[in-house]
Amino acid sequence: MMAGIAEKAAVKPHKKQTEFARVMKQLRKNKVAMAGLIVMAAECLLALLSPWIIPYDYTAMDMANCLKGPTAAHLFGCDDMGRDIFSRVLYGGRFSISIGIIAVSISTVFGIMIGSVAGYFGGQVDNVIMRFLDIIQAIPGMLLMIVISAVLGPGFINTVIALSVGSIPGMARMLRAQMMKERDNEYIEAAQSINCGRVRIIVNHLIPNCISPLIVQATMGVAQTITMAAGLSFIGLGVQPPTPEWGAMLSGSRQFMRQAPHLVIFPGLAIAVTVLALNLLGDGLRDALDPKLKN
Amino acid sequence: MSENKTENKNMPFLSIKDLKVEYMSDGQAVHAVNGVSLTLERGKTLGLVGETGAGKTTIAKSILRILPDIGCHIRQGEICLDGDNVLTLPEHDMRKIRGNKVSMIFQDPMTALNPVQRVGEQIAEVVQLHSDGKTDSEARAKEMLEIVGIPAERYYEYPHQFSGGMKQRVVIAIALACNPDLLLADEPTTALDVTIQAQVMDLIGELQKKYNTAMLLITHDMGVVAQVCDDVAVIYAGNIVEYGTKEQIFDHPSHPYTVGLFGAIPDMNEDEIWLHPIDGLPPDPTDLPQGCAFSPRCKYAGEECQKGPIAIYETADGHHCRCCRVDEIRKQEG
Repeated sequence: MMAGIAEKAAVKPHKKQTEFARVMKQLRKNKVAMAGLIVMAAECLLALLSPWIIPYDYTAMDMANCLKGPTAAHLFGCDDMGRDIFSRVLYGGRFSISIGIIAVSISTVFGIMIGSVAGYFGGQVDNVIMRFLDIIQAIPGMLLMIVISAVLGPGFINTVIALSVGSIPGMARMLRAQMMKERDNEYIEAAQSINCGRVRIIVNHLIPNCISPLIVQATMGVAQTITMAAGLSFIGLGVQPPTPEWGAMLSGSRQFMRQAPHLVIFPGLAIAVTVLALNLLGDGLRDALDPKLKN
Repeated sequence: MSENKTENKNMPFLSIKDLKVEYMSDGQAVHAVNGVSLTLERGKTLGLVGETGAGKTTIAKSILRILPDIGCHIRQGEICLDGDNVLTLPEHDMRKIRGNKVSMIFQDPMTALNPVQRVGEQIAEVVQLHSDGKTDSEARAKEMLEIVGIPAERYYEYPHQFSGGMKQRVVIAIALACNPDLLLADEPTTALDVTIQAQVMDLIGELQKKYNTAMLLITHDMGVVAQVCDDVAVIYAGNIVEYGTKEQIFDHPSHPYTVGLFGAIPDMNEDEIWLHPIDGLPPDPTDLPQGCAFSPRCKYAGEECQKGPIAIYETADGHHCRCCRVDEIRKQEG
């Protein structure tokens, strides 16, 4: 054991390994999560570079190719207006993925703030916050989104806001429950005894201990948000056509499902692959981020 | 710093007077501490001995004022530390006390460290919180690790990579990082193996001597008390029942409860088959007896024991005992 320590010391004498490097090292051990990460990275890259790599303009109509199946010229075939589905799926990734990520980031940040205050202080503070969240949760999620979208009007940013508000209560509740579990631990008392203030205890000691279920929830939330965005697009409140958002493509193609299934298959596949990749990544991240599960 | 305070020269370093603490639980008042008074000088060690729930930890937490905000009240009393009553100090001044002048070693090293923070950072945190900004907290943390016998390279490791004994050393390093004047050790060895216990106690004693730190040692282990304490206070149901030097308590235990405690320790030299437990259970802290709290379990209890609060008597120089029949009992027992 002593030899081990000495060896270690020789390799990295007093060198601090960054948190990011540590998490990546852990993640690399988990092949499935790495696959998820690679797929997500590839998707993001393709979506970012799409204006330069798509073979056709995503709005260019070619009525001669209406509902045509996949060919060499049109890899994923064409939709009901003769637009190239391959180009639309690639370009649509920009909207779908960013809506998912931004909306979930917003709800996670607010969820953490609200949940940590409610969970740490408890008592009346907790009561007031929780009842307020109850009111939000009492409204069916879809209805809430429709109302917010209707009030704010359609568009990318408004869709993001509409999608994030509904998932704040879930995030806040989850953090609050974790917080209440961790709050009574002895290390919190120890932190008090060395004169950590409340904010410091919450930010430095409690949140890092409570965050791992939220990360899993958030990655899966991205996937869920992408599908919910599709729902909003379908009723005309989300991202507006001709923007090729995956959900909008999916719902717009419903009527052609029997005669030209490729209209549904490819956007659907894009969503499915993204959701799966995110879920795998989320699971892997939870393990990697939690030093307790190390080794 | 404290040497300058000449006006407090005659005051003991720590003195607790008539401290009463209550917890509220389901609308009932739990009388955790009922009028405890004690004093402690610099460099000395006072052992607080008593059963679980007797209020030992509550006393320690009162000194640091880290009792839970909700449902806990310090009803009366004062805690003077170096001449200042910490119970009336503004929160701002408590900052200089917590972790700096007074620090606490927690009972269970398994839970007293933040599991997702590197151990070195946890030591550095206390240094950072109390430094003027010039101190290199990382260097100090590494120095502390070496002092408690852990290689400085392990600064970047997490608590789960340490054994129980090593974790307790880290906890001790945190407690001693700012050279406190008073150390509150809340059962520092209860969660450890006997062999590690000895190491940890030796380490604490060594560092205590080096920095002339006063220590309030909370324990229910009489062996540890015999090893390190100068004075001993025996606590029962939130009250000190016997108080004196270690020699007085060990050689002439006077209170029936203390006698009972010693009776329950196995003797290596005698071939005892049965230990002698104290019959009964500690009283319900929501409903303490009128008179002596120990009277329901005491074989010497008489009528006068149940009448009202029992005063504490000085039976010998510095040896106090809260028993109204202490003289009779002494005569009886010879």
